[in-house]
Amino acid sequence: MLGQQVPSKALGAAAKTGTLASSYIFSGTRGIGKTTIARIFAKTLNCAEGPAEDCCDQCQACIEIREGRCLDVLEVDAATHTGIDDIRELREAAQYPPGQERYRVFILDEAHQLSAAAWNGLLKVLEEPPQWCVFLFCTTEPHKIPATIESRSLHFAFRSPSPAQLKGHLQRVAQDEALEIDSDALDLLVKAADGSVRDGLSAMDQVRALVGQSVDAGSVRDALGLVPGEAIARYVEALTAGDTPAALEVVASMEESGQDLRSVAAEALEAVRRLALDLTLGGKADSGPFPEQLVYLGKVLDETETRLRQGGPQRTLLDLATIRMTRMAGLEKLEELVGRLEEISAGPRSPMGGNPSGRGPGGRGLGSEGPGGRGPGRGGPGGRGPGSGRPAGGPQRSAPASKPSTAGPPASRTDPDRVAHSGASARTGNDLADLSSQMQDSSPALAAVLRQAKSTHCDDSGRLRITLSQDAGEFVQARLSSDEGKQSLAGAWAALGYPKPRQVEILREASEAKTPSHKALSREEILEEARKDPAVRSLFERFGAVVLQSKSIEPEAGG
Amino acid sequence: MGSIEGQERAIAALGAMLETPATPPPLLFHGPEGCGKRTTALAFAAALVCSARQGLDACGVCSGCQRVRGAIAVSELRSKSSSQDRPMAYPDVGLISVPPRKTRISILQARDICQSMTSRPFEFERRIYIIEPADLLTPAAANSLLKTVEEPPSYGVLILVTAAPWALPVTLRSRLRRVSFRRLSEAVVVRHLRAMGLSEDEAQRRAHFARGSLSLAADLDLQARVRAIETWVAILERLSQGERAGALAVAASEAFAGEASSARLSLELLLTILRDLAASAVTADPLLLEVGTSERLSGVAELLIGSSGQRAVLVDRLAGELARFNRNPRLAVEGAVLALGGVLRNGDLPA
Repeated sequence: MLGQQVPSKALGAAAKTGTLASSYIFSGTRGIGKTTIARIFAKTLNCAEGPAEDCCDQCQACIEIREGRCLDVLEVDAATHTGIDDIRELREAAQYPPGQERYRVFILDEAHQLSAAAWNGLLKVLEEPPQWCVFLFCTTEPHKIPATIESRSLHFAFRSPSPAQLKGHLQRVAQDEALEIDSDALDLLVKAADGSVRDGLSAMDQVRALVGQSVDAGSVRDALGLVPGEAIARYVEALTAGDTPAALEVVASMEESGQDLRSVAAEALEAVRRLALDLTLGGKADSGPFPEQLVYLGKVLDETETRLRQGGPQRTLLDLATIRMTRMAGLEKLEELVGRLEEISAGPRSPMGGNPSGRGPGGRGLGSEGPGGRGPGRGGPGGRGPGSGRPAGGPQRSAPASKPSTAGPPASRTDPDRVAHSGASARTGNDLADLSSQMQDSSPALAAVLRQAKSTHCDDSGRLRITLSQDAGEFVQARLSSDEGKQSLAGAWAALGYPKPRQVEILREASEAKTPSHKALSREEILEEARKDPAVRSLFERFGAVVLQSKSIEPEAGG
Repeated sequence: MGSIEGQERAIAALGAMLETPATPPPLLFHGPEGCGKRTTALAFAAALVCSARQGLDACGVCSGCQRVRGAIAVSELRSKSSSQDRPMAYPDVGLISVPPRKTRISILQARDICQSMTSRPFEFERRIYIIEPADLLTPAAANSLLKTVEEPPSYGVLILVTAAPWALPVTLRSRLRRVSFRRLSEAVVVRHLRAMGLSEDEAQRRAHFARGSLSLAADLDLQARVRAIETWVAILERLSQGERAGALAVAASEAFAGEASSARLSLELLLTILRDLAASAVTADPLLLEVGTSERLSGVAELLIGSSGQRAVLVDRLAGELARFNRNPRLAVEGAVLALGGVLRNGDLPA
């Protein structure tokens, strides 16, 4: 049996020595030989040449069992005969010794469909069976077998054969049947088999019925109704390149040729997965698409495939997903860039800073794009509002070309705020971060508010000072200054290993003279201010950014 | 069977089975809606029992062919009558589908099939059962077919017909020989519609909407579609003036918020409208909607803001509404209307 050495050996030994359990469970995926082994075991137990490790397959008993007319070996379709009444009959039959053979064997195939009452009806028989009685349960869903049954049985979990084993097996069968088949075609069959020997063989039958005795990869694809490989390759290439018209054209031609668009999505997903594996494992991340983009494509393709299963207009759904993937792929790259820029500059933020609200690029995971980012901080292309409609496509699409060669997400992308603050003063910044994470468990709300703080300082007299940045909102100050807030802060500070402060003060960073009110700024002044920001400056210098819109942020928007 | 168009590969595979004396293995006919699976299954069954078969085609007059027609008639009668436990009228050929006032094919029906399969055919060489739509077998029913499908009797032929093969348990699928059907091309659909007596123009329009489904093209209510498109355009216009309440009122007053099937249809149409708008911004790809509505659509395009990428995100949300749809049609339509507000200029109410 292909890949089932362990159960074969154990069962052979049991049959030879006669040390049998009252019942056996054979579980595993479909089409890997559970029922077949159960039948061979029944033959081995009763073979006239025995007791031996294997059956002769020639004696009267073996022939009768093979032809299904042996009175002592009963194969039951447990998925059709699911009830307690069917089991009662079995239980009765088990009481009589076998007529001709050594053992009375009951094979219950598809046993997972038995009702709860039926299983319970078997309990006593399995616990103290007549000596001649053996029950074999075959199932694809072993978790549906009650624990009380499993504890009385010997459970063999059959493993799927490896793709290499399966390929070898299919090749041998093809040779035996004088079928000419090349290696690529075998690989496709192995893929179609998906770990099941039976599926592989039946796929081979299906191909042979259609194309005759000489089989290549193309005819396998055709006979199994698979999408042509080169079309999928073209589609994925267009997706990764952000080439919307080309990708839409592939979809149109697939529809025209009568392909199932759901399979197109499924196979594109598979191709994207392979590509992502090649990139990450092969270390070729410097050129072409990068893994995060592929993960994003995979996510959308997966969603789309699920939606196509649920019905709905196939072409419309796939077209829309295609447009989304090709248009958003560029934006993802831009997000990563902005995240990295922020890390480099890590300076104080101006109103035009890339990440005013924690909603910006760094804090959000892959694929979480959406119309949510309403602030001007999205760096231009995604901005909403009048005037930012069509032209937005421009910068978005040009962004990928200027991607720097160092790939891979910066380590600190998950929390750019903390990085930004630690830039001000390493010592106090770390304390602040520690304080914040210390409070994360006890009062998450305060911990979040604390991220607005600039620095923290505790002097010798036990006075803990927390300085807020000048643009922190009223709410932040009020929250931290409340009695509850002060107590929590003092407690968290002590928990960090410092002496417990006697007093907590919340201060606001002294306003620098040149900081005017936001509302007083004209458009030009805002722009001027923004251009001074290192992050924005490097956007202009490195990417030739274009100003589409500028807007000042209300202090509240920062919270 | 030879006259079935657009399914050359499936017909070739079935034809090869007819040429050998061996009984065909249990079959799974799968492919998109309205592409001829059921028609082919019945033609194949007739060819198997016909006493005067010529090539692929049954004669249509012999006893076997009449039995197949009888099976169809019985199936139709049963789907209208309330009693469902009558014995099969033609034991050798049967068409099994969802009983009246039920939503699935039950284990009782499946057991009936297994039981009947154990006895030899009454009149012919073969005993043929067609199960359609097979994706509506309950899990228990599908499981109870497993052993019969695995090792059918020498005379037994089982044909499972479905548009959603992935909805079948993998254990059952693994035991069936797949016969895949393709979506029909528009030309084939038009030809069939013409043969049904429709004018060239109407046949074109229907075929264009139906995207390769002959049954959909034939049953399509063209006027309802055009009306639904116009309703959506009206809703878009209201939303663009900031009138969310007005837009919702239009949605509610139109019939499409009421009946489940028409609400689903109109959401699909909305997706298609948005697809066309998004696609027309980047490519000269032909519109999915019929050409007559494209002028009105370009009017709507002026109302939209944002890049096509943003529109795609919105439509993604609408597709989500569609997926939620089975739970509450009215909510889905209203959710879609509100979501639409997000891409329209001035569509936002003041915060």
